Amino acid sequence: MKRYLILLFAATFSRILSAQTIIQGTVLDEQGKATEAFVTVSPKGTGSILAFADADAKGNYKLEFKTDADSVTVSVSGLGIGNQAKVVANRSQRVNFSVKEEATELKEVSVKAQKIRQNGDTLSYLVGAYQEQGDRVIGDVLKRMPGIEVADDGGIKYNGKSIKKFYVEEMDLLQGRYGLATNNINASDVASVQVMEHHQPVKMLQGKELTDDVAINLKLKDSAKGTVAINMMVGGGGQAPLLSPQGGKIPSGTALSPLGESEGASIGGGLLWTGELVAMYFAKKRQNMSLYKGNNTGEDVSKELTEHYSGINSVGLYPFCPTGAILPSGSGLPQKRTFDNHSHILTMNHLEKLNKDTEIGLNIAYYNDNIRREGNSLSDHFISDDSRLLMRESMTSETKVNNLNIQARYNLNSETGFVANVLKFDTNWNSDRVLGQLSSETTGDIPMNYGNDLVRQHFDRPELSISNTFNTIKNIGKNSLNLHFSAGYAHRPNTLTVEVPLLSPQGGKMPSGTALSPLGESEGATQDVTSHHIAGRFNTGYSIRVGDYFKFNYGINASANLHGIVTDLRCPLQLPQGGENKSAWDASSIDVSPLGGTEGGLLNDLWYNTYSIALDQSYKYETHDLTITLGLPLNLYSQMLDDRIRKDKHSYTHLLFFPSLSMNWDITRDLWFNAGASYSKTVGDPGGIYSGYIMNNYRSFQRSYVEQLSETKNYGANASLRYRNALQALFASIGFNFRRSHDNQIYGYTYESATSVVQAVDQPTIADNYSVNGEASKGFDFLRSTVRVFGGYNLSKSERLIASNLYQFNAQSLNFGGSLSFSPFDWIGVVYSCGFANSRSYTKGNENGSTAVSSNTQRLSMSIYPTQKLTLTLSAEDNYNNLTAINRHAWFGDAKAKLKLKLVDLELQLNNLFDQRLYTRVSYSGLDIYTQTSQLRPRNAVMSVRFKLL
Amino acid sequence: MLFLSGQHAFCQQKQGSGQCPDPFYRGALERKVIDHASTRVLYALNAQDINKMDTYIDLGQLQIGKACTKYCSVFAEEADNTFQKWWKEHPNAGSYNRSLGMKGRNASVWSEYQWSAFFFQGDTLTEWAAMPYHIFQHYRYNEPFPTMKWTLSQETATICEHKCQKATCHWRGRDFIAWFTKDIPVRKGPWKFGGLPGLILKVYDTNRLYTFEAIGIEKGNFPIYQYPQKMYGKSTRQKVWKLQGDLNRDFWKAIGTVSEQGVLVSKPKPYEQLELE
Repeated sequence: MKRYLILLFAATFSRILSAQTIIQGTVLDEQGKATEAFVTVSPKGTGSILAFADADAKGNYKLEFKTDADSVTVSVSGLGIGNQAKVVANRSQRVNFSVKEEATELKEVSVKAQKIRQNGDTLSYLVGAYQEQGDRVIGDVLKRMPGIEVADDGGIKYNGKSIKKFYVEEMDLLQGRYGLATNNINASDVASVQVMEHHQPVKMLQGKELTDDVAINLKLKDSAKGTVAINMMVGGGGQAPLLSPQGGKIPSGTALSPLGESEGASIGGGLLWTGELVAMYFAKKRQNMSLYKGNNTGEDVSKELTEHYSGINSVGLYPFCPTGAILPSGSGLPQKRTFDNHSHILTMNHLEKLNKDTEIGLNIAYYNDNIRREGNSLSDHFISDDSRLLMRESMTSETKVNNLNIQARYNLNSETGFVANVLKFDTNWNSDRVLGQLSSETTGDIPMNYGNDLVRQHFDRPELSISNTFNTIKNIGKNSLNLHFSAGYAHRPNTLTVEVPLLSPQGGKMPSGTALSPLGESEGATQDVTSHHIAGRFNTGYSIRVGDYFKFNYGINASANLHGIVTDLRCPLQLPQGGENKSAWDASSIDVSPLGGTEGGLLNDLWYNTYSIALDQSYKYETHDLTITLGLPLNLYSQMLDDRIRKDKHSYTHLLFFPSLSMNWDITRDLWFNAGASYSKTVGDPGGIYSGYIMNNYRSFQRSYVEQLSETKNYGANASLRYRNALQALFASIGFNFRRSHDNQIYGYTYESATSVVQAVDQPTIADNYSVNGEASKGFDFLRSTVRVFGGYNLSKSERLIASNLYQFNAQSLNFGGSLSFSPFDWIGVVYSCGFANSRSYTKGNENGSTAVSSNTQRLSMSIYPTQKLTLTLSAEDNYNNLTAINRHAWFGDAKAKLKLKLVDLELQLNNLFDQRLYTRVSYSGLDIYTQTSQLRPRNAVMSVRFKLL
Repeated sequence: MLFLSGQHAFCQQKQGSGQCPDPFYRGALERKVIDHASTRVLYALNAQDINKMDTYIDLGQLQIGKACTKYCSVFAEEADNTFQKWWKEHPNAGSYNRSLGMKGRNASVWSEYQWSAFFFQGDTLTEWAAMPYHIFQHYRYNEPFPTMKWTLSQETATICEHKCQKATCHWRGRDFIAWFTKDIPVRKGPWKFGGLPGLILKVYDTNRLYTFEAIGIEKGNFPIYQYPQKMYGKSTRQKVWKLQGDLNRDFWKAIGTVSEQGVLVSKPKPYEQLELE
């Protein structure tokens, strides 16, 4: 044993002892010049390199190595010199090489790997590669896929471009309502998401007509095909009880609930519920997706029914109705904080493939809701420089929504033919019921108090429309002719009924102090509006490229719109005629109108028809860093107004020309410049053609008795400069905008107590608007933080006609803010943001009498990921307003926890942690200030559980 | 026996949110041929299946020319060539596809290991780094070559039909293992790797995050293209390396995206860059 140890030691020792060998020398070519080469040394026979060295510029090299071998191989190699080797004894010495130019023979190794060539435009994202543990539906995973963005409303963009088609297994089942797919198809059922760029859905045009459109196709896993899948979610919760009436007092002092249902007045009631049931079937020849969703938690499920694109370009139908109920206006807060709903959606989508190229489809969507709103508003209207009209209003409203949309379609799409026909039927029977309490007064030299009145409004607004669109494509030689016809009819028989004591002849006398007439006795005003819209459209278009830099686009658009409008106002009051302003409420003396009698003053029966043929043309010059586009559309526009009450028939024909010019210039790689200018003109507006009064709402009556149609000329110009340097994480932009409009008419306002009368007057007016906006952001390595700042200034100048006085008035607003985001650790992210706004307006000559409105908001949010299955989100925000009498700072806090278990997903939401009950928003529209106080959903908690039924 | 097969569950994926750069704006139409290579060596990067190119993150090529040697992506070059051809054939199309040609795994996603080209001239290495779509700014910088200090080992293996010897080094924060063959007297390899007495046919870090492996050696006449200099601004290695890392770790933040609510968008993802310093 000892002997072996000694032997081993001796062997190791001899290795250590083996001295370092140094071999050096030169590598020179035949002319004695240095050449590009390197020298290696290896023990003779083994081939394993011990050391290597380059030959330097003079051809010298030096190798240092240790080895036990008796002799070594010194080789010189280089691409142009082949390989030369010398075997020498293992001792320090000089070895010189003289090399010849010789091509090195390399052994070719053929590629065995299978080449995949894809010249198509389809990119596939494997869902598994992007899915994370918190992701449930395919929409969650889509958000993570590079280049794909999902907006809050569910709309999908790929590289900033909205997608134009959404397929499941290459079939467009949902016809644009793809929110149903993204929010309900389980991510685990989808194998891949395909993005198809330059998508041409028409097979006949594939390879012929290039589009810039993007489409998405969901490829399902085999296990998800041909089977019925049913998913279910149920949830419930509760919210803080309603405070005592005193506690929930609104600043104005009026009772919160004029409807007197104080127990039920809390948003959403005490018990909260939410539920959904989704059934899906996807097979080769048949697809179906049907679902129900409902809640009273403030979640807007109707968003899923949004049509993000239209399966076919149908004509737009807008039966005219200038009438509406006044509802408590929005709070400006996220909808969830105030939405008091009982929502239900029910939808059925079916697709049947008749053969390879032909399919028929049926889509039915029904939305039912009962929305309560409650709020208090204070409007402060400018009457003159020293007089203002103050109106306080407490309102409770209930809106009933019933929308039904049915669409049936036929589509033949083959290499040789294309026919599409879509029949649409939409009907809504919606109504608003509002109970309000109104008090109004004027301030100034002769203050007046118009009392405190109960107002009831009921607006019944059913609507029906039907349209058919037909599209076919024919091949004519090399070109194809695209024919697109769409026609439709819509009808709205609407009635607004209001009961205001002021309107009643007995009790509605000013000034204050008059006893209110009991509601039962008060007479109301009723406005009937029956309108029809018949529309038809035909369009076609093509483009050509000229030379390397020019592209010309041409198109023809023809359309006809026929609006029939019959209105009847039954109102016990007299409204001003001609230019005179009489007391609107002096019921005893109803004037005979110069425009065809009293009746004529309150009735309208007219047809307003427009016909247009437009030649669209645009010319584009495009180089690597400069694009200039000139648009020169020509539009022959004809209008016909047939006023059957005034027995007046007019027709007008205009040749309209809307030139526009725009430029994009890449100044340097980091700096871009955009500029543009445009001119347009609009003639006639269905809002300004009534000779008889129409009640817009219970406080506003409008008519237009001008002899000519309105004409508005719009001029605009804009410029912007952007800087982007990703290396420095610095981004900045600044933009300037100018708009001017010339109108040949101005709307004049007259106030009678809380009621305004609006009339169009033949008097030219000009309005200007200037704005400057900028922003910049910079990223830092410290805590992975980013800072962003923004700011803007806006100035507008216009004229207002109030009580026959013309005022020049200016409004300016300034806003700025910033945000800071940082993540101190991997498992936590923090974002802080704030914004400030200040606005002021004044009439010329009275610059000091204006009120400034300032507001600011701050928000802090934090996301924490303690484990991979649990996600916590906490946020707090402060909303401040300087004009709010109380509660100038409104603080909100929310928390959310999501836990994913094996078979079920759990989610707990805690909303409005600080239990804010009321929120006041002040807005400023030029001369008038509006203060709106809304009731908020109290502190609440909702827990939901989600599972697969089948 | 050495474990040399390609698939490793923990190798770094292409995972950023950046999209491959637009061929027009990376200079595909304005390339010039600066040299010709008579030999090119093809390398698979992070292959899931070495026999299927569409499972590679990239198919790289080392083009050995007379005056210069270039390492770049075959996928990128094919995309440039297809785009150039398509542009010529369809002058009136008015738009084009950004990702034509051969594709690997997650083809639409940008990776600096696919979209950078390396020119080796004398002792200088120049990286031409094409940045993802949405940036439109590309960069180039020089650094000395070679910078790796290799230790030779006596282990051998056969890779791509060549007998290779093993060498190891610690370089820019990671430990690497390379297999080189003295049969090919070129002191280079895939990407920035080189400095051994023979061509590197396989190289990977000891964590196996990145693996380059030769799959073929071809002879022919291969043009060596260079993008127009004006589209690739001069920069430094530190700056380009940091930007490439940021774009992979949090693309939306790195390009300064602001959400509709006015908040900067940040969607960080863990990412292992090949160079740690």
